[in-house]
Parts: sequence; C-alpha cells; structure tokens
Amino acid sequence: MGNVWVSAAGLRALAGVFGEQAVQVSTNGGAPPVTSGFASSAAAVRSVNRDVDDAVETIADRLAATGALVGTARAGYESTDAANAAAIGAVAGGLGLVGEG
Amino acid sequence: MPSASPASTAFPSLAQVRSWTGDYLTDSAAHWITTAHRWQDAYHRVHAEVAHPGGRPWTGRGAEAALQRVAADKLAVLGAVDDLTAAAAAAREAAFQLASARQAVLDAVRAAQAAGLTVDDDFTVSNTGRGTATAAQADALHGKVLALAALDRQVATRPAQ
Repeated sequence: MGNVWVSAAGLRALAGVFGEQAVQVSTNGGAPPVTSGFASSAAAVRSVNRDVDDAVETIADRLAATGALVGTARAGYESTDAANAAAIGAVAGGLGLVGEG
Repeated sequence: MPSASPASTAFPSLAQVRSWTGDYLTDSAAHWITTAHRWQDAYHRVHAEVAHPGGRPWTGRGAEAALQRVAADKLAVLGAVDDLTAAAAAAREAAFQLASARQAVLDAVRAAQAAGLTVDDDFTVSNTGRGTATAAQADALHGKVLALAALDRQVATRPAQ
C-alpha cells in the first residue's frame, strides 16, 4: 500500500463542489420553444434540444452521483480511522515500565 | 399560362415564408453555447478540485480512482461540448443561408406579381392577362421555392450531427 493522505474536511468540501456543479448544470433554463420556422430545420432544432435536455440530466446526475461517492469515501475513511483507533486502543495493558514490580 | 405550383409536401406557404425569422435557429444556438459552457465549467471545476479537495492533499488508491473517474467523465463531456458548439455554429449558418433563400423567394414573388402574375399562398401562379408575365418567370419563382425547401432539408441534417 502506498501513502495515503486524506482530509475529511477536504472530502466534505469536494462532495459539496460536485453537488454545486450538479445544480449549476441542471439550472439550464430550458431550450427556447420552437413554435415557428421551416419544417425540417425546426424539427432538427427540436431534436437537438431534446438531446441537450437528456444530456443535462445525465451530466447533472453523474456529478451528483460522484459527489455522493466522495461522501461515502469520506465516511469510509473516518470509519476506518475510528475502527483502527478502537482496535489499537483496545490492546490491554501497557508496557509496565514505570512503577511496577 | 396554366396554373402551377411546386409539387412537394415539405414546402412552406407564402405566408410562412413572409413571416419567417431565423430566431428559432439563433436563439437555440445561443442556448446551446450557454449550455456547453456550463458543462465545460463544471468539469473544469471538479477536475481541478478532485486532486486537492478543499485545498488539501488526497492521495492513495481512492484518490486515484476518483481522479480517473472524473478525468474520463470530463473527456466525454468535452466531446459533447464540441458537438454542441458545432451544432450551434451550423444553426447560425443555417439561419443566414435560409434568410438569403427566403429573400430570393420573396424577390421572385414580387417580380412575378409586377409582371401580372397572381401568386397564391401555395405558390400556385396564374396569369391575370394584364401584364408581361412569362412561363419562365413562374418557373423562376418555383425554382426559388424548390431551392428554399431543399436548403431547409439540407441544413436540417447538420444541427443534429
């Protein structure tokens, strides 16, 4: 295992950034309605708008999901650290070098 | 001169040609560019942040996995940004070209009417017998309408690419 550097506060901030960007992406305003125009080009524009709406949802969902994974990782690191601390602290007895015997 | 009109189901009417504006193309293009910038900004931000969450170091296999995931997503999103930017450019060009073709139709309509032809909403033309209209003028008008309809179909293949 290589070096592991991690900060719970940093991961919390990172998860927040993913969440903010997911909101930013989904705050798209929606495509302007196509109510007129020549038939073929208007249909093509509507088609692109549908694709864009789908992509907005996909990207926003992916950002939110990645943010959630970062949150899960943070919880995992904290849990592991706590478990390690408990395991190490649970070792009974000290060295008994001072004041014994 | 017999009445005639260009035979196609995809023709705009004269009223549609007269009232046409390219706003649906240019407005959508502007929306696509704004959207593309939003996607790009989002992934630049998260990609920069994932290596140093909250300005703090993050190393280890979890950090590497996160960085790989975000880098792959960013690559895919930037591809979509390029596609959307190209679609916006095509839509703007389409607006320009259609405006030019539309103007050619309207000019031909005016010329036909000035020569004594009656032009109906479906571009059927008939000779009032009071002018100097020729079959060639009616053909010229129908040629412009055909060109406009063909251009509309042609540009429609580009924004969706």
